[in-house]
Amino acid sequence: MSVQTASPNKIAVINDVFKPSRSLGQEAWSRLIRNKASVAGMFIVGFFIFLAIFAPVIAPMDPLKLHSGKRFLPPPFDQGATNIKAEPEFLLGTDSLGRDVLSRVIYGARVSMVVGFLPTTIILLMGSTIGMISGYIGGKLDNLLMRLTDVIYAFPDLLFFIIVMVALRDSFIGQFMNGLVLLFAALAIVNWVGVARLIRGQVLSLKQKEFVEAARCIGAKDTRIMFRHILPNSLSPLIVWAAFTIPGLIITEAVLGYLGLGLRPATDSGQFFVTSWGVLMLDGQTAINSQPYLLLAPAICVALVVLAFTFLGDGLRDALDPRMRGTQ
Amino acid sequence: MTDNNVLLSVDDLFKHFPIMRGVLQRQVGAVRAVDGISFDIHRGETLGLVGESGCGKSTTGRAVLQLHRPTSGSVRFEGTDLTQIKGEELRLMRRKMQMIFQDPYASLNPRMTVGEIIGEPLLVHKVATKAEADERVKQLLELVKLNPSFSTRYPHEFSGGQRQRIGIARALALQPSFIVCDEPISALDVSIQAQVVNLLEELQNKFNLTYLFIAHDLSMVRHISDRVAVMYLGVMVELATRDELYSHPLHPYSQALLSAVPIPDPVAEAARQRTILTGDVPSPANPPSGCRFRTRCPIAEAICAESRPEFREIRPGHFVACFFADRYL
Repeated sequence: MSVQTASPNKIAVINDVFKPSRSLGQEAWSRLIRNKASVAGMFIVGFFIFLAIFAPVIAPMDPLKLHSGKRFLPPPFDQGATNIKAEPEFLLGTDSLGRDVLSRVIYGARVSMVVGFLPTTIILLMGSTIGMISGYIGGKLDNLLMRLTDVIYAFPDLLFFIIVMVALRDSFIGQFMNGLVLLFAALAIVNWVGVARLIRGQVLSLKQKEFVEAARCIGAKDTRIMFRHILPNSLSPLIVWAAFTIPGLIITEAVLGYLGLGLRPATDSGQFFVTSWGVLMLDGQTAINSQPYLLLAPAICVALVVLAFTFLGDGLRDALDPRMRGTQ
Repeated sequence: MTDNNVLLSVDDLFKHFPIMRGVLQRQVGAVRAVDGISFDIHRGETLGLVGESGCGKSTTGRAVLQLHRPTSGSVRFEGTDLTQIKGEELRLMRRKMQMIFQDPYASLNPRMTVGEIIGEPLLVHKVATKAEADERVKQLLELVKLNPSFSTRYPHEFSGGQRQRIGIARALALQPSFIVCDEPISALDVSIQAQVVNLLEELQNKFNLTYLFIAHDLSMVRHISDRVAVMYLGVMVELATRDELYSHPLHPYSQALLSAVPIPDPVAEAARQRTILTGDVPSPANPPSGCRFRTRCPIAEAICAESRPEFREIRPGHFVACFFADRYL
């Protein structure tokens, strides 16, 4: 029996040789930048990162300087119900101690941005390491690690934060960086379980894929299989997860700040973290009737950042996995 | 059987997958995917392995390559028992034996370029520098009749047939002597199947490759194989040279299988006698006693339920596992 074929050589060559080649990542990026909402989200996030980095240059005043006799100044564009005369150099007015609100809000971006990105990095590293080990090695170790994540998952987050922040407030770690390190640690401990479960699931399904079997067949070592084959293919859900978790962390920080458990107020303006939006909201609520901007300014910032990240996350999910489009 | 020409010798190979239940993950049973099979593969030949879905063909291929460690039995490759070695020693042996996978869409890492995929075996075994590997990748691409400039592209930019060629190039990178082809053509269009099979034959002649060719397409197996083995529910029921098996199948299962192949001639096709099997394949977790095939066998008798028929050499080079095979001689 003979098998007739067309010349396979020609068939292979005819295929568009001149089309530029793009990786899956590049294709996802081009889908992402076509999504208007996520591009807007990216710009807003970029803007706040810029504010956070260059706060000393951008802020019109020292955020800690007390302007005597200029307490509770309304913003120049809205005199409101007070009879205190607004002054043009205080664009958003002043607070109860005569400090410039705009400058304080700008400095507040630092905490929110760092709280968004730094714990997320720790969480991703911790969670994916544990998830990867759990899924790849399997067996008893997997069972042990997954029961541990179940326990942590079941613990109420906010309660955990409050207990940790109150109990360790005066310890060495609680004092470090105005209490932010303690906050990061608490956020990381609570949130790594989600990543670990996500990655474990990815590893379990990817482990069965033929390309992983092919890698074993050519004699690749376990570390290579994990880092070259499994990890790059688990990145998409990880990136999407991060984009949705960052706003969650920012809100948590604001809530804790509002409860008086977050960042402790800085005493001199040489410190990197002067204040946070949560702390500003706590300050601002006392004068909500006469001075709404004290509360509104940081609240709008929080809402804007959270919304921007959510748009970005939506766009990333659609771009990285087109099959997921339109799902929640 | 102790032939110098034997490249690979599989003896009494078992692969059972445990079935775990409950909180404590106790083993409650086993899927007997491969249940005691033996065969030799000679240097330079193609052994076709056929059988219906779930009969353990792919598991056999993977157990031979130690991608699934066998439960028991031995796999001697060039004199080394692969089941006894592990770790670094096994890793080095992998240079000599490779695999071509069934699904060309799942067998290439979507995050790596074609060049990285084909060059990876060279880098993993440190047999080439990065530059040498790039050069070798280009040669390999030409060898499988793809454009060498494709090496910077990603797998999703290719068709199924092209992807399968990339998989073949990867398998060839280390210049192995033995390749397990795990249904390499069943996921492809019929028009592409012939190209890939012809390519495999061409490469075999060029590099004196030995194939274990797993398939369920009987006509393709007939085309490419020198000898053919038939599997049913984890056991081998018949093994013979291609012409012998296709003209004189001795096991009732092989007969039924071959009678299902349509003949491309209307007159002959109309006269074709079909042996139609009834019932389903029993579960490999709970196979029938004695002969595995007895529940569907047209000629089964009481003895078939009592003991397992020996896989015997009924004629030189023709092995069959049936008590009544002599009837058809």
